[in-house]
Amino acid sequence: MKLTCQRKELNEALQILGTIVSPAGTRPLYSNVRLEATKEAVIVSATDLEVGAKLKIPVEKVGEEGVVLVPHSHFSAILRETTASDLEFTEENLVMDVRGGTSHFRILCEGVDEFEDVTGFGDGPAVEIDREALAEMIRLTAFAIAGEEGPFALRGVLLSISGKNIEMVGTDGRRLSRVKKKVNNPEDATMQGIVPRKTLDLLAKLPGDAGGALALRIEERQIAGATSKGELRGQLIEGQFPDYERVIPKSGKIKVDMPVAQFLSCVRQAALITTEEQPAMRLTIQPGKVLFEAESADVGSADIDMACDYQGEECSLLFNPKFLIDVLRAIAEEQVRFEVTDSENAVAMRAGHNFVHVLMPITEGAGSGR
Amino acid sequence: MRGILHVDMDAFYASVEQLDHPEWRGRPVIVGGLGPRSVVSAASYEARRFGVHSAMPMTRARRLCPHAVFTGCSFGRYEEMSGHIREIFLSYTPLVEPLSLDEAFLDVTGSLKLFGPAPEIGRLIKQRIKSETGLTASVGVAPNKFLAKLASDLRKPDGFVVITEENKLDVLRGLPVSRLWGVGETTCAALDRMGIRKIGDLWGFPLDVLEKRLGSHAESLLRLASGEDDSPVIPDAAAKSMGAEVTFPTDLTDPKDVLDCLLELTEEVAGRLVRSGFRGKTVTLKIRFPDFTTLTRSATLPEPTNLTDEIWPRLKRLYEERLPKRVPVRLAGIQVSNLSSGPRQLSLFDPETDKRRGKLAEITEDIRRKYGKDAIRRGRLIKGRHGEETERDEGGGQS
Repeated sequence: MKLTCQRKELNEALQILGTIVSPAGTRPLYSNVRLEATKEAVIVSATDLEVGAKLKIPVEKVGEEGVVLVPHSHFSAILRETTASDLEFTEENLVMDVRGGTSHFRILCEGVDEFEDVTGFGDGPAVEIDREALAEMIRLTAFAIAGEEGPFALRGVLLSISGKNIEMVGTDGRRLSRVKKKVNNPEDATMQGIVPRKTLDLLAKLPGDAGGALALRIEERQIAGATSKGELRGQLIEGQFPDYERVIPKSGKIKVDMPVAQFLSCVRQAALITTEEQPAMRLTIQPGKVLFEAESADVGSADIDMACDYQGEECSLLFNPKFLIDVLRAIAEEQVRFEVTDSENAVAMRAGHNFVHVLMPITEGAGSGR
Repeated sequence: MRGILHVDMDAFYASVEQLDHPEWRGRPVIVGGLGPRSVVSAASYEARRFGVHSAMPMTRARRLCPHAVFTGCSFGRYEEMSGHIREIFLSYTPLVEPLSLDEAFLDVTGSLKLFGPAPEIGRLIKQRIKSETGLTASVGVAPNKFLAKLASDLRKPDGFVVITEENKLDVLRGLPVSRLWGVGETTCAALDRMGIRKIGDLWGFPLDVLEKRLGSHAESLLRLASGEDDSPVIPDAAAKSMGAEVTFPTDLTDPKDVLDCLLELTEEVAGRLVRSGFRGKTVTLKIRFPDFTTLTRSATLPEPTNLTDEIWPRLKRLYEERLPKRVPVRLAGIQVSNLSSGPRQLSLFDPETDKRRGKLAEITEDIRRKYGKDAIRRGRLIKGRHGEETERDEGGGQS
């Protein structure tokens, strides 16, 4: 194999693949990236057998085609630390010479025979969505999914496509984010699947042309994505996603419009006083203002006011401030509408036309059991 | 009014040794270092008759009671027994303040509705210690810590004394002032010079006079003398967990049986959490194999809980996914830690079910309390029982 490639682009590709490769020592074969030189491009791919990505970097000149496995850790470190703008790669008998400027490295490689390469995007009905729009949807939902300790089916975002609509829902059982957008669906395909966190992160990062589209297909057990510069394929989570429609409040009794940045700031301030053991912050909506209060036996107390345009009756709820911070950080709009029913039921937070976040409060019912 | 218990194990180390060595029962047993300069750690009541007491140099003990059994300390064993006794305490109240391996205060004020008046709880605990460990304890029941400790000491060993607001002055009147907390030799001598020898002598003594002699200490002394003490029972941090474990009479060879047993232990611990008003966030599984290799695995729950339905799936997964598939199993146990009480995060799906399940857990506990542990059981568990409880109830049969 012999080729010359821009260091910067290859470096970026290797950074993305870094989230996929297995840490050294766990599955040695899959701590490598697959480096392939074809006539038109260099293709680097990595997989952990759950999700894999294949990225394409155009090159000036491929001297000699070939394919080899390169250890990701050293390969990416060399790309990061060297300074030359172009690097020349020559591989022979599983030893690769990397030359750039005054630097020269020799890296021991492995053959690709045992390596299960990432299957490409393939054929079949697919939809197209603007890359940035998809990244935004992921940003608005992925934070709400369950962690490793949560129920299996909730450890991913439910992605549904029907007609011109794409919808993503993430929930960990205490809060829920739903966002809807439009897609180009030439074959009017209907598809649905639960996409795990790592795959979502990769989808959001998949490189492509500015303003370009991403093709998406949900198959029976896998999701596939493709841009002009890369392809991705990952396993879906098999499980029963809960019936989420019914927990989204239709409309709250109390509605207040709040500026997101200021709301976030107030919550973060109150959160300084809450503790991990007792993460409860009180939010009180009064005529003309919203009051944020926190109290902790070990630390002290805080109360922060925020003016608002509200004239109805007073209401007061307890929240885990972390949950409010998560959603307020994700919202790009300047205003959020906060809708409350009562202190024991979910609040809805709406921003723009397409986004709603539902959050359960903390109940004060202290003491005996539940 | 508060309900405070002080439970003090009688000659704890020596009694454990006698329990483990039946041939030593009824004989003087002296536990302590066996070297020339060692002191007595504990002496059985048989040895105390010869004047042997703890902290006495071993050489002197040997002179006083040469025919006694002299033995070294087996701390691991004492800790194990102490742990078992603490579990008994914790099944009545989370407010347990251990003073040492063999002594603890319990605040049962919050448990009175569930288990009856404090003296009744005291009796239950005393009986359970006897039946479950074979050891005797002296129990004091009183409205505060000072009186409870005093009470447990009045009729040692195997004592049971209740001090109430009504009888406290009668009890205190004739006791030497040295029984008051904080009265050591110096204070004792100072009081003696004022002609104060019995607690009753302090009653009505002018505070300012006493303060001149004893300083700020005087006021608390007068309060104690009249049987008043409002110091709280402070559960120690290590007790911030609840657990249950079982050593099987014969090692279990079927993982299904181990799981059944773990489910039963989970129910027991969840029940205790419900009773005490705590919820836990961390679940720990403990398995011991016949060669005494012991493995523990922990997992964190998304939110603190006291429900079997939420603890059990996590524990089951720990057993199935995080432990080697190895039988036989000698011991199985579960612990729930990272306990908290107070406000609780509500869940989005089925909050109604949440409330019902919580209610069900409470009702189940009520029924079990009234009609016994077996009044309500999970379908999965209606077939046989394991472990020590099996021995007690059905004579050791496994299904």
